[in-house]
Amino acid sequence: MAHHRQSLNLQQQQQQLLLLLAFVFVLGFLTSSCHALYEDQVGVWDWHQQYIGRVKHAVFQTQGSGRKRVVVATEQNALASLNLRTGEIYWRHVLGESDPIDVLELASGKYVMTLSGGTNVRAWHLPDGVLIWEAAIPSSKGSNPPRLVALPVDIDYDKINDLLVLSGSVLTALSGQDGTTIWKVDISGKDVDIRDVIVATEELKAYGVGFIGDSGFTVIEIDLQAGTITDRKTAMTSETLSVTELLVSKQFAVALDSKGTHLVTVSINANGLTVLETALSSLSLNAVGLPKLLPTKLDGAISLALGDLTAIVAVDPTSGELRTVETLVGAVAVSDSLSVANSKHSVAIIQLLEGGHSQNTFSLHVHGEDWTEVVQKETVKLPSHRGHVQKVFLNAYLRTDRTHGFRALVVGEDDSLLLLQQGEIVWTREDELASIVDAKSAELPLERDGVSVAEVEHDLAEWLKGHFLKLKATLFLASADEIAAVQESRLNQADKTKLTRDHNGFRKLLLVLTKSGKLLALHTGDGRIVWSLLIPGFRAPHGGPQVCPEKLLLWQVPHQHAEERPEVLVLGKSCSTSDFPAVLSWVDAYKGIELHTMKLSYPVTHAFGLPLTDSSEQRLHLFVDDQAQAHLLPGSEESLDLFLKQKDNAYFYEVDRTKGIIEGYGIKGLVESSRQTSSEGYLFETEKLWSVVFPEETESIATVATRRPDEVVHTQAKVLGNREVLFKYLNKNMIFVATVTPKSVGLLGAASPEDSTVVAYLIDTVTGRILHRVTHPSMQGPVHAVLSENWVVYHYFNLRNHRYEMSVLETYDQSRVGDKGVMQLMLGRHNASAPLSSYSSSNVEVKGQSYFFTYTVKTLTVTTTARGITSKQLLLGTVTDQVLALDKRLLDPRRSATPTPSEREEGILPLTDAIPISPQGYLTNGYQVEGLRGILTIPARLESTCLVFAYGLDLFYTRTAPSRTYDSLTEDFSYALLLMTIVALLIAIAVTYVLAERKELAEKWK
Amino acid sequence: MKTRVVLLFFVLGLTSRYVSSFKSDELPEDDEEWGFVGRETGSAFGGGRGERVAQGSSSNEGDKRRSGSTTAAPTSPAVDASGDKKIQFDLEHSFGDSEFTPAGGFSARLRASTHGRQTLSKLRLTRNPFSEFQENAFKELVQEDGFYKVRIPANVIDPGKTYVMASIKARCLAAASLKERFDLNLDQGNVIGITYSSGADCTYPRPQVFPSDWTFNSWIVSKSSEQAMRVTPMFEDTPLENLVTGEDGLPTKVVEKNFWQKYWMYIIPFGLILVNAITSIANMPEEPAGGQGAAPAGAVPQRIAGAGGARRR
Repeated sequence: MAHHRQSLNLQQQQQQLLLLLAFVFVLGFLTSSCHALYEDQVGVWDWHQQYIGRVKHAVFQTQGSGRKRVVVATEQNALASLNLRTGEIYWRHVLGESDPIDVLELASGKYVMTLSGGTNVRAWHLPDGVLIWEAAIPSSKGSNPPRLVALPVDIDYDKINDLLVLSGSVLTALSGQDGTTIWKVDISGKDVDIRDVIVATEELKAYGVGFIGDSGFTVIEIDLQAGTITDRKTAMTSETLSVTELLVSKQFAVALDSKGTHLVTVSINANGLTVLETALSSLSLNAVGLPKLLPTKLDGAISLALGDLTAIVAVDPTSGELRTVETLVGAVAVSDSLSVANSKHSVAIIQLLEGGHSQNTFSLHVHGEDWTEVVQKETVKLPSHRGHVQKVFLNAYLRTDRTHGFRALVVGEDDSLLLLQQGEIVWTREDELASIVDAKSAELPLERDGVSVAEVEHDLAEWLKGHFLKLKATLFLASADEIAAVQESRLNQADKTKLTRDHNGFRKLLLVLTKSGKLLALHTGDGRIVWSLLIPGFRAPHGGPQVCPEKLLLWQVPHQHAEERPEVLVLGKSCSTSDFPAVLSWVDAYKGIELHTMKLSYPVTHAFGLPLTDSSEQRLHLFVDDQAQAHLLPGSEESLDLFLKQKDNAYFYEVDRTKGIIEGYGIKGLVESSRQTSSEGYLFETEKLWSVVFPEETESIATVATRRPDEVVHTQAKVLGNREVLFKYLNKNMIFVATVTPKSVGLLGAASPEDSTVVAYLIDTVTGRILHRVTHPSMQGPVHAVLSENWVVYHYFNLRNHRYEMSVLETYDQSRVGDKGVMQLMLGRHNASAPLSSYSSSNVEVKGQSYFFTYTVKTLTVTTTARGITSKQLLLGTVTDQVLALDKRLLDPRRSATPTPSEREEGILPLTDAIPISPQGYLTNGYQVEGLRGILTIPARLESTCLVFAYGLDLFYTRTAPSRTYDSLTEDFSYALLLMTIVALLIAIAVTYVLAERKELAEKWK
Repeated sequence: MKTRVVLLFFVLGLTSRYVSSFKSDELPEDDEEWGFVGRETGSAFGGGRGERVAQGSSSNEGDKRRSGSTTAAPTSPAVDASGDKKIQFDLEHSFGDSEFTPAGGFSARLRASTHGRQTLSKLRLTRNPFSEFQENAFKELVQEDGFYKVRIPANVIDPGKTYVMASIKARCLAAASLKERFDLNLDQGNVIGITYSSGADCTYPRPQVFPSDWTFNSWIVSKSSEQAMRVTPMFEDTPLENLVTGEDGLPTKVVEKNFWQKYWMYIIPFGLILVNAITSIANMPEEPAGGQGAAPAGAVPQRIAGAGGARRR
């Protein structure tokens, strides 16, 4: 009997063991972690958006049976072909920074011709954007905008129409076939300044039109086939002319006189030139300030701006007589003339409706051949954050009733691109996002009470079904449709795009400030725009000085008072002059509403947040003006009290890159009179405490790197493999400065290796102490640097080895080196908690090392995590516009050729000559963030994870876990499988229990 | 070999108090050229105060450092004789907001090297004593915890209008009984930055004490630039073929797995099946025998061993 029991017990034990093992297996199977990204994970937590920037030229291709498209060139030097129906990009090319597109033309119906900088003519294939040929025209003197004319004729008999390019004073004819030069003629002469070229097709003649000095016009006739000057005509004027602008049309040219009171017209006809001067007053145009000719190309008319007024003046081609046809007030955009069927011309005029300010309603008028007739009249309401219409491009189409209809491509004040047709917005492109100036992140609101998870997940059954499908997919049982459904559900997870805070801190708002003065909030889940605001305080009054947004400051970040809204402060400065008073605007980060705005009475050279917040968690900010005086905001009594307590320990520094000086300042007393005007901030006198002067002839500042103010450092001690402790020198006021030899600032090869040096400095900004100075001979900039914790990594070019190099400097505090050993650290017998003061004598040891690196770097930053425990990755924006993550361990100055076992244990890698690049290190995967300019890293609440937002012309967002996601299960962890396994186990236990009972009973009956 | 030089450098650096390759300011006792050092002269300020001269601390650290550091200038007398120049420049000071006034003079030896580079060495400071007025101004600074500022021309060979400036809380100087230290960062004939510190730690809050003796005790350290060092790696013991780029892009050494590591996933299930089979075999003969047979007796310890083995895993 005893034996029976024993064997039964054993049996039960065995069964339990088996179940346990099975459970362990299943769990192990479920949590098989992945280290790289799989194909089906693309788009699960990353997104990529493509933009083109503010459009400056547009040509339509709507004839023929092909797809309707519009080709645009932008201020961000992008050339793109867009689908006219949806606004999607067919193809896009981004040219270099020094390669702006001046002229965009369509030729022969299938080529896109671009002229860049007056020197580069390129022909692109319209359907797919392939570069067909490229021709370089030797640059010639002259600062006038270059011209490109696509000839409607073939002059070199290759059956492809050719081109004319006017660059400076040289007129070049290029073959449309391959871009070879057919002929070249210099049409300059004494005092001759040719501005434009027109073509008379029938006569096979080209005419160069320009000024003679400032008191005459000249027209040069060129034979198109021979490329020879056949005639020169001149006409002198009695008035001196303003030579800034000359409007040239087929039969006349118009300029203003130097006083701005007369319009001077010259008619070009077979007999010669006829000059006619017309007073503006006779056209009933009363100028307020100097009138300006607008470069809009109108047929038989010109347009000019007179202060707030835009006038369209018709020109009689034979006599040159002028007649005002339209005067428009306020924000007006006039399109170029468009020739429609029967050689009729149409012009679109977009004007803000009277009283349409609040509604942002515009009238779109399309005028016919003579200006009295309005062919089409529409009213369009644009969203208020689009602002006024800046540019309009007109396109005609055939309506179903065989009449001509018109649509308009318009550029908004916020740089967005919209297509208007039949009074509606057909599509919108958010191209303001191509020019982000500054980006910050903000938390989303907390989830409201009563919103349970089930409600969010719609339905428990649906949730289970989803997980069941996932399970099937994991076990390779699912059909293709089901796999697609699983992928679909992964990409569109409902909780990914919710507008509330999540537990892991992955859902956030990305606040981006664009060049056009627009603030947008993007959701990190899918990159959609949550709200956008064209900051009213920054909008230029018509013709007034423009305010350029410069910086985004986190004004209020509520932690304790979760019901409070975060606020951001946008700092704007004048776009042109530096002594223009700054503009501040406070914006609610949840709603996207401007709370208030303030025009300061002083210019701001630099603004920063202090590590102090008042009781409503508003951060104290200092604004330094051009007199090096500090203004404290917010201007409340409370903030003043707070600041006065800390005043003696407040320092700031200023970097003057042109003079090569860094100066440090301390805060002195409050200027009592500023108490009255405290809304503009309390004024504090400052005193200059130190200066560092770089020798002008040998060093110029290349880069200054500072630590992130919100950086969290987990521990000061670094425990080595041999149980000894190194103390990081964590000076919050330390900056890194790199200087280069002024001669070598330019292009590579500008200086020989002997007289090109990069010098790296570590400077304490409280005392001005140079903590470390190290020279790298034979190196050249540009230098990119990132400073974090106790280390700095910088990137530069090695002229001797013709390779890029990265160096690391790590600072260690030797004055604490006495407390050696982990035991002492653990037992508390150490001075690691003693505060670090810039005024105490320091003993800093700097360790450095250099490594070769393959790529050019556009930007350099580092990952940040919530508590700073996770190891760091360097994020590099490579020249291929990708984001590369490099483990910081690769750039450890303590790497040695043969690490000792204890160093190996510590994770020190053997020393290599160069930094290896692994293809899996690219965070952008297969994407390119075209025109990459900056990378923003945001810590998630989950310690292992860091959110990465890269911006340039394109936007890209992803998240990275430098030490893998050690604190959470992977995305594809199947809860359903776990649940089902548990249920199955329970059932198995119950069944085996019953079976065991029965068997026992049967045994007993024997 | 190179590594060893670096190590030696660090070891020497650690033994001295200041870790950096700087040129010593020490005045060798036998240096005749600097005759004015230690000479008592009549003062323009009157009151019988002697011009006080900087007293460097008399340790031989500098010499040690010089021997350890490769960047220190050689001090052979032969070079001394060739075209060295003595230059002098002013130290100016200011009390809080006051104008800068001369506070003393630096003198140095300018040595031109063959590459057209110039190096400054043997920096000495002669401090003018404080006048009554200056003493009071300093006391006032101590009271209000203000800054005592000093500056020297950025270009000491051909002084221009740009100055390199530094400052210190007057209380710090007073607490250290006017023991001051100048760290000059030099690049040829240019001063890039000065670090002006007192002899003592001086963290906030600072006590208010007045100096009893108005003699400055100066210590001057000149630092020239250090060249970045580059340790070139040598792969001696790790053949290249064994270094494989790991998933994270780091080179990882391929370690041969042993039999258990390779095949445990097959062995364990097989073992379990085996155990199961043995158990069922062991259970079967029990029924007809109804008691203990030879086989179960042998099977029991085996089972326990098998189960134990699996659990240990």
